[in-house]
Amino acid sequence: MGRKVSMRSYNKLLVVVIIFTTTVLMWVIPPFAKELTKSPEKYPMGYFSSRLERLCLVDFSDKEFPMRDKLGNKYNSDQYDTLLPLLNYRRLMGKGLLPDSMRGVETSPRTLMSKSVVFTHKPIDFQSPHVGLYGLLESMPVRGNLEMPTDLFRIKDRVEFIDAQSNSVDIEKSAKFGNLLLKRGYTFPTQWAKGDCNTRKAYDEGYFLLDANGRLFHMKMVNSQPYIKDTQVSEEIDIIHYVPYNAPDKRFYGFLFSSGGGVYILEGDAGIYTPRKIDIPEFDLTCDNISIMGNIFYWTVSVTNDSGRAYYAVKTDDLSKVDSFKVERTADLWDMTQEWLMPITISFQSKSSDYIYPRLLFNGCKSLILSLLLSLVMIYISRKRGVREVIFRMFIVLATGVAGFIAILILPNFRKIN
Amino acid sequence: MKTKHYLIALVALLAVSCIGAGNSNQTSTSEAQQQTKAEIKTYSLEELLEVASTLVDEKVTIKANVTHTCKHSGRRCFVTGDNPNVSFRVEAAGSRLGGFNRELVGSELAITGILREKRLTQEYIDQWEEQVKEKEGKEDGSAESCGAETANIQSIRKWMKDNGKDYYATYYMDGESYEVIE
Repeated sequence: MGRKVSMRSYNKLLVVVIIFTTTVLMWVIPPFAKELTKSPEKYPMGYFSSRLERLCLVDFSDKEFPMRDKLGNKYNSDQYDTLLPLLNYRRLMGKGLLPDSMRGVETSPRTLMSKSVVFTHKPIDFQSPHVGLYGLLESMPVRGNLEMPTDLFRIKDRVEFIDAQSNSVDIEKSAKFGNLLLKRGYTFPTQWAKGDCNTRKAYDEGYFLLDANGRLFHMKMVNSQPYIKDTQVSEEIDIIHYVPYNAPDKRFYGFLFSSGGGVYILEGDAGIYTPRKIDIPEFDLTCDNISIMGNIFYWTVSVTNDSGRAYYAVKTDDLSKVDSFKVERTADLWDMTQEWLMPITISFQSKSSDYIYPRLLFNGCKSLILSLLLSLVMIYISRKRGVREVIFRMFIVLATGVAGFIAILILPNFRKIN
Repeated sequence: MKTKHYLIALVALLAVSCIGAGNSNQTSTSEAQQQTKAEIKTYSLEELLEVASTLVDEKVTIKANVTHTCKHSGRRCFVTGDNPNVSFRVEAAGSRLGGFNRELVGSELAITGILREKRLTQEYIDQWEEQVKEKEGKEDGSAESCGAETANIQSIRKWMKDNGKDYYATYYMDGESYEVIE
């Protein structure tokens, strides 16, 4: 009788061990297989040629013809320099080949530099944890240079400036900013605050805050006094994300992303904030990468996701689209392996998020076919075992594929209860 | 023992007198500040320009609308009053004023600072006129702007003649602080 109880306990424990081992294998096997089968994703750099008036792709792995346009014409290195003069103006300047003007606009290095835009944004930038403490710089420093503040602020249910040395709240400063926020119509709690507390930049624009009602406010410190203003931008678009950007010509404050997938720049002139939409298709912040390279005439916008990389050229002044092109992603061995390997995999990390938690990923129907085949093999292997054990094994393999199959093979059999 | 008591009493007396002196200093400083604040007169731009020659190097407050701020440094701004054709330059100076942020354009400010005068001498105006004439001779399409400059120089000369001066005065302010009027 005692032996029978002991056998039952052993079998129950074995069920737990099989499930645990299968779960661990569902997590461990995919990265291992990925390491063996994944090829790096390589896309050429895209840039709109203001000479050819079309998008060009640059790939320096081709030494002879590093550039080709969207029509397939190939160009050598010298042609690459002269056909993309606004990208290669430093090299052309060195050779004395930089034109004085293009389309009637002066193309001095100073002008070109002031109009250049380089911006990248990845999904991981959007989905990352934040400490919730921010540094507010003096935007108009008396001595000219930006200096790191001696305090930090937090802004959730109220705004509080905390002296970093004594760790105490600066009541006077907090009240000054808090009262002005309320006076300007700000509603707590704050959804987010986006700014760039960094002294290695040309100028400071403070923070943009999204209040409880989804209204975007601009807050900065000017001559030790708060400057706070409702940008009124929320009346036009439903903002979900903002990335500050220090444009050399101070044309705009940063990039805005709306819930509808729109990407905007937030222009500022004489205290009026205007969102200007970049004419590209719907953008998904959670899985799309964006990079922008802009010059005095055109911006080239590249959007990369699992389907490939799309290139768009937009005019610098009104950001309307003038050209587009797409390079489809070529499937590698990992794509096929992933489809067939197992129906569900577990991952704690993601390439698009900094948050760590278990994620169950469904890999498609093809893996179910393999699971079915493996479960048939398992039935054959287990044909001399009890009916309940065979059903259990079959169910595990059917649901988890290779992971369950390996777990059952490496673990001992159930003990028979007589 | 007696000496010890005397010493304690002396220290206490000194301490009380020091605190008293400190308080009286604070009071007098604060009174002086209030007095100074009260003494600084506030002008509109038109009022200020009428009496500007009598207020040079004095601290004044001017109420005016910001029409332009220096986009790059923010170290200066231009303000205007009721007459949009008359503008006035304010430089950021002093230990508290770092500059004027670009979002101030369109706002009404009360700016306190020292009124400064810059004199354009007869010699300077003559040189300027010569340069304009040289530019006019080049015929590079700048005739229109040269015409405007010539008219400007003529009006300056007329003012000098009418007022019996051998210089033309322009005014600006070394701003020390400002408040946004809401």
